[in-house]
Amino acid sequence: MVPFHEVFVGSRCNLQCRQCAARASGVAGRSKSELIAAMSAFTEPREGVLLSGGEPLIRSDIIELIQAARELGFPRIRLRTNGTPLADPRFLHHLLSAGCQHFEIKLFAGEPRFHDRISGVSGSLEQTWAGIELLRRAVIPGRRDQQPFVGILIPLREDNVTILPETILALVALRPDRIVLSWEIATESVSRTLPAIRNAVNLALLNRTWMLTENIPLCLMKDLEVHVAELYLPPRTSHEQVTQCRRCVFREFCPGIPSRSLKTRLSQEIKPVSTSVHLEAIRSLVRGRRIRHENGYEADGEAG
Amino acid sequence: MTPPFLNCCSGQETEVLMAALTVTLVSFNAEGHFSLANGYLKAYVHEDRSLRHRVDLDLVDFAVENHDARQALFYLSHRMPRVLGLSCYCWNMEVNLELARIYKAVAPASLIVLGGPEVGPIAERYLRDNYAVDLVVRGEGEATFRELLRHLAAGEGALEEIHGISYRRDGTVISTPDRPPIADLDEIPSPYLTGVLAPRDRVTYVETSRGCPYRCAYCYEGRHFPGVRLFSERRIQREIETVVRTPGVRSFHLVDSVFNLNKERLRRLARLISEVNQTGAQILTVEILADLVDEETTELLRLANVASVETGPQTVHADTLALMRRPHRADAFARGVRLLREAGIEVLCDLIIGLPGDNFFRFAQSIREVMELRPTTLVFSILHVLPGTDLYEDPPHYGLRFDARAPHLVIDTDTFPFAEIDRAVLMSIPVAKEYNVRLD
Repeated sequence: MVPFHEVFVGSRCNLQCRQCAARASGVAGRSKSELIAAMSAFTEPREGVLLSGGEPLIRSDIIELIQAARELGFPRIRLRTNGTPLADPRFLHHLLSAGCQHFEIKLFAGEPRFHDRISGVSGSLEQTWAGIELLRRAVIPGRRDQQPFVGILIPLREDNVTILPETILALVALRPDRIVLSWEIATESVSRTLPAIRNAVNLALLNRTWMLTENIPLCLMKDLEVHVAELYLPPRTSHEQVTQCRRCVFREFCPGIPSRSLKTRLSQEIKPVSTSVHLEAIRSLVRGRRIRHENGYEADGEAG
Repeated sequence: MTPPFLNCCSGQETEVLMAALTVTLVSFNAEGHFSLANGYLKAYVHEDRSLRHRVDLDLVDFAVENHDARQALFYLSHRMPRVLGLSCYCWNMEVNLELARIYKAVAPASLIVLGGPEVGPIAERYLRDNYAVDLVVRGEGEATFRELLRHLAAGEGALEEIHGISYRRDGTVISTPDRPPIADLDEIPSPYLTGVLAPRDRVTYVETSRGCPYRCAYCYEGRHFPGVRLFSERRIQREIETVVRTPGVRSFHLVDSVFNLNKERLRRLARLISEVNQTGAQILTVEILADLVDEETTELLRLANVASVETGPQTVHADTLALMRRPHRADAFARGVRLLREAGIEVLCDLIIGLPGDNFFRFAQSIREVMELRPTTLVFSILHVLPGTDLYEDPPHYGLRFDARAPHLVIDTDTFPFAEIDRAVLMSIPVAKEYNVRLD
């Protein structure tokens, strides 16, 4: 629920994930001064900044960027990372000391044969896992009673959705603060995978871990609406509504589906909702969402 | 883990005669804390010269998170007190009852006495359901407990003449008439000034008043102690003087249901604290109504060296607040939080999960709106339907179901089903952390 301003730091990455263009040999990305300027452009109040990539932690100036964010007055600095660099305890200590206390760690599965196949780098899950374990044991320097925030982001794809329950069970044992399932499948039917998603949500709740879903419209999350991330913060990427949405009671505030999914099966699976007991309460909740992206994509929640 | 803490600093025990009535008051607290309530009881008993030599009373504090009944029993088994008193709140009731049960097995002739807000309003139920419990002190405990010890140690009066107790006789539970609260709070000797309690950094509480002018449906204080009774300013001054002069004490807390209720009193107290507090000790927490905060209030709080304040709103929804009878003016509240923040005073905003009238999305809206006020810290708690509150007394009126056993968590309401309450609790944990983990 805390709004973070997102800054893309460059597309270089130490993994070689399928369907992702980011590579170690990728464009170095933007200079430090460009990034500081981008962070400076955000107006007050600066609640939080999220550094994303590529893999932000392979930048040699990442500590300086975090320090710059801190000097700019961001009270919360978050990294979206594949987590492999966090397996180095000394580096992790530097990050925490510099002021980065929020982490969103992206992984595909809890088993190496799935995760490493998608990430394209053998042994990457082992490193990511070690990074998460270190984070869960870490305390914030100077604050012995506070630990960093550790969120997990699982991009849902056709090659990891079948083992989602196993992934959740492995992850909840690490006690992350939150798990987000992000729909990124271009070819798979969301309706067919919904039982696995529902099962994953229930497994997480049973193990006392909060879970959100991303990029899955409200109509497909019937009875699980409280887990729809877009109700609390506007979507991270642009979304659009489709023809069926015109007949849906959620149309005034549901962002629809990711624009990149318009030509996929997801757009055909939209089922208008005719009634909801939560309509008024959701309307009031959504009215105040706010976040601003660096690329100018802005959603302040005043939809409809 | 903090070891159990014995509050035996008075030295008065040395005068106790061999045949004295042995009394131990046990309290399971948040880790590192000590019981101010038991300190009051001991100070009040010791003030009675006729009891001072007849009663050997000690206090022992355990951490509810880390210590258990068997550790307490280990202590008690050495001392074998004739009277075991347990300080009861919704969050330590389970361990208290366990201790009562096993101590009764070890010392069948002992008298086990419960007191505190958890047991007072439903004393008869606790006596009926727990045969190890012999007697419950209802309401404010100092005068009642002292009279009970007079009866036990000196044979004064009959048990049935002591107002404010419930007890079992021949299998029947008997309750004597209620005892009115002590009108003049200064009548209760200060546990700090009498040496009963030794102040310690971060965990010392100085009480400035009792009672509350409001009558929120979920709160015990306003319903049972309507109106506000004040400790005298002279007494407060002397207590704070003692606390801040204690080596190592750099901070303490104030206990006052609404510290900023009366501006004139706030002016006097702020000046008084500022004059006395020569060491610059911080006041860590005090409860206020943010709605009543203006520029002068923040100046006065700064003058008193208040580092942080705790305030509502519990929910942002006017209809729920009206049902709960909680005073709230949204604009004034927002302004108050802003003024406090700008004055450099930390603001803790509380929200309750599961209030009748709310639901999951309304709770989420409360979070969002309170976040926008940018308090220092968000504090979430699930509704505890406390004995003696309006919610406890008339749950059908509020469409409410709750666990009859302490800590009396709400189960569901007509508007907030269990599955939603459970999800709201699970959501609130990461949201609180995401918000509260921040750079200075």
